[in-house]
This record gives sequence, C-alpha cells and structure tokens, in this order.
Amino acid sequence: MEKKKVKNIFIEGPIAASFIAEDIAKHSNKKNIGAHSIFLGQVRNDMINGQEVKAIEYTTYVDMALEKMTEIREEIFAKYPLTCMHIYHSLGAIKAGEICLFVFTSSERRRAATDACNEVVERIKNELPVWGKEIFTDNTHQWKENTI
Amino acid sequence: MKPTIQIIAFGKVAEIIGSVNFTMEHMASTDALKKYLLQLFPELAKVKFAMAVNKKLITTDAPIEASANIALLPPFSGG
Repeated sequence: MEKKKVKNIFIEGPIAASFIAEDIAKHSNKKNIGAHSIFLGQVRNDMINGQEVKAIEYTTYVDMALEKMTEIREEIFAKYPLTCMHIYHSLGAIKAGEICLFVFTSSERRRAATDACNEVVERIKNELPVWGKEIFTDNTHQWKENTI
Repeated sequence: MKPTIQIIAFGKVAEIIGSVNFTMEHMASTDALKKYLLQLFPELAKVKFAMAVNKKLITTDAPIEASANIALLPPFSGG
C-alpha cells in the first residue's frame, strides 16, 4: 500500500483570524469548489467550583496524533467527495477567547463539506491524543475531559 | 544487558508520576505493567488511563516486546 505523507497539524500558540482569512483567500483559484465549511474551536472561560478558566494549555503525543490524523484524513476523503481539507490545532497556552482549532473542508456541493467538517471535529476530539490543562485565574489547574 | 522498555506519560498521569519519559525493566504485558505502576504510584488508581504500545492504542491486555515504547494516555481533551 502506498504510504501517505504525514502532514503536521499542530501550531504553537493561538490561531490568528488573519491566518484563517488568508487560508480562505488561497482557495479562490480553485474554481470547482462550491462550498466551504469551517469549524473554529475557541477557548471558553468555564467557571469550575467558583474558579474561572483563563487559558487551556495543550500538549500532545505528536507521533501518535499525526499517525491517527493521517488515518482519519484518508477515511474522510474516502467517504466524502471533498476538494480539500485543512486542519490546525494549537499547542501551548491558549487564552480564553482565542482560537485553538481550525477545521476547513471544501467541496463542489455543500453537503460533503458540512458533513465531513462535523465528522472530523468529532473524531479529533475523541481520537487524537491531545490534552488540555485548564488554567484558572489563580494559576491552579485541572485536566480537562471532553464533553459534548 | 537486561531488556528494558520506554515509558512516555502525558497529562495527569505524567503529573502523578513526576516524569514524562523514563526507561524501566521489561514487563511481559500491559496488565503486568499497569499493576507494577499502580504499586509504585498508588495515586494512579484515581485516574483513568489507556496505554499505547508503539503508538497503537490497546484495549485489552497485550504482550510487550523488549525495547517497546509504552505511552500512558489519560482521557483525550483536544479541540
């Protein structure tokens, strides 16, 4: 079997709105695309036992995460007629209000882009070895567990 | 030289163990390793964690080869 190239998805720090805008602009020359779907994950200032989350610090098992992401990417491309798919996940401390996940799918018609985008986000949350440490305003912390 | 295995820990598990990376004596299976770690670090009983052997997530007891890389993975919370 042909071994697919493993693409990095991790970037240090938050994902800037300008980065997202530039990524959208790059697709204007792909004129067979009729629909884009974008999911942006933003760090939420949850209140936990009277303490406010000021940031989430993300770490990953990078080798395993990128292997798993390659597998997810192949399965998504096999399932949906996508033109392209781009995924970026932050590492390090991301403040409340900043963007930590950017999933961008494109297709000729809208259903493939929206369905694939939703499925990829769910799979990233459930299957990628990434951990979020919730840092409170008094600098104590707890380890996050994903909920719906 | 005695066979060894490499342990890599993440999140809360790394916090409890106090180390992210270490080498230890070879253990024949993931269940045996888990039992050994729980004896060494009783606090680990309070957290859920899965194991990956050479980057493959395992769901039931699995044999461990000498020099294997074992990752200790608490529940994922990315995205």
